[in-house]
Amino acid sequence: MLLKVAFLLVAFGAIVGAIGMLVSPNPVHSALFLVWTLFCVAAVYLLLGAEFLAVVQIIVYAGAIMVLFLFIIMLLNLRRDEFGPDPMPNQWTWGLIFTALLAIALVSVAGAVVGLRFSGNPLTLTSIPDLARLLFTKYLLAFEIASLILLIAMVGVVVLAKRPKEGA
Amino acid sequence: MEAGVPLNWVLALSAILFSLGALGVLIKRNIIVMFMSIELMLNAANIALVAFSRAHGNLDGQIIVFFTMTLAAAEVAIGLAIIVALFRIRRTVDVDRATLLKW
Repeated sequence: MLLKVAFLLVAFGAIVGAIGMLVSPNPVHSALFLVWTLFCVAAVYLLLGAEFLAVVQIIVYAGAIMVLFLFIIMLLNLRRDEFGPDPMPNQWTWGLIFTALLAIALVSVAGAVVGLRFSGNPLTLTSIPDLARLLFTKYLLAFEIASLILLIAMVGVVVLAKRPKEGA
Repeated sequence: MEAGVPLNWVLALSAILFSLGALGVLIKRNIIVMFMSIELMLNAANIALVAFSRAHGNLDGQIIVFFTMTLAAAEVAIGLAIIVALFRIRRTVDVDRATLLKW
């Protein structure tokens, strides 16, 4: 019962943060709302017993990725309402209609999943040694490829963000 | 006697967050906020993966979430570099004005 109440609170917080991200006109406020939502998602991971992922979520998403977003927003010196008239004024209507249909479909699929139940004690946490053993045996190749992808991304960012040479 | 949070609730949260992310991609004009919405959709999918991993009692879903986070970090770095390059050329982050491949 206590877990259900905690989950409802955290889910409400996540949804409020996501809506706040969409409606706030200032991109800095959007980023801060998204940080709040990501913290709530980390709390959902904790409630599901995935405490390693919760910690990684806070460090990588709320820490590194959102700091990068805020850094870029401040680097580009964005202000609100600098866009002028909207060339596509209908996109709110159609976006809302399409997304409402998508949400109805997805939530009804979620409601239809009744065959699966959580097994075991809900407060049991994932054992990190088991996770690490799986990561370095069954998924070793994927792990190495992930490190390669990070290296490629780093080189790519340097190439993309470099100021082009004069006359080049 | 069922303990803990029902799987349906977690999946419903995942579905709602994914829909909100899709809404953000559809209606926002600021490319950075659209990019944040994509991050929100990735997180919604991650919630569903962790929930199913928990329901089935194996850890493979959590490993996939770990790789998704790694790829999200790489994706954000590349995407923000592209946004900086776009901004350098056009002096705007309005996607509705970035309609040509060149200039």
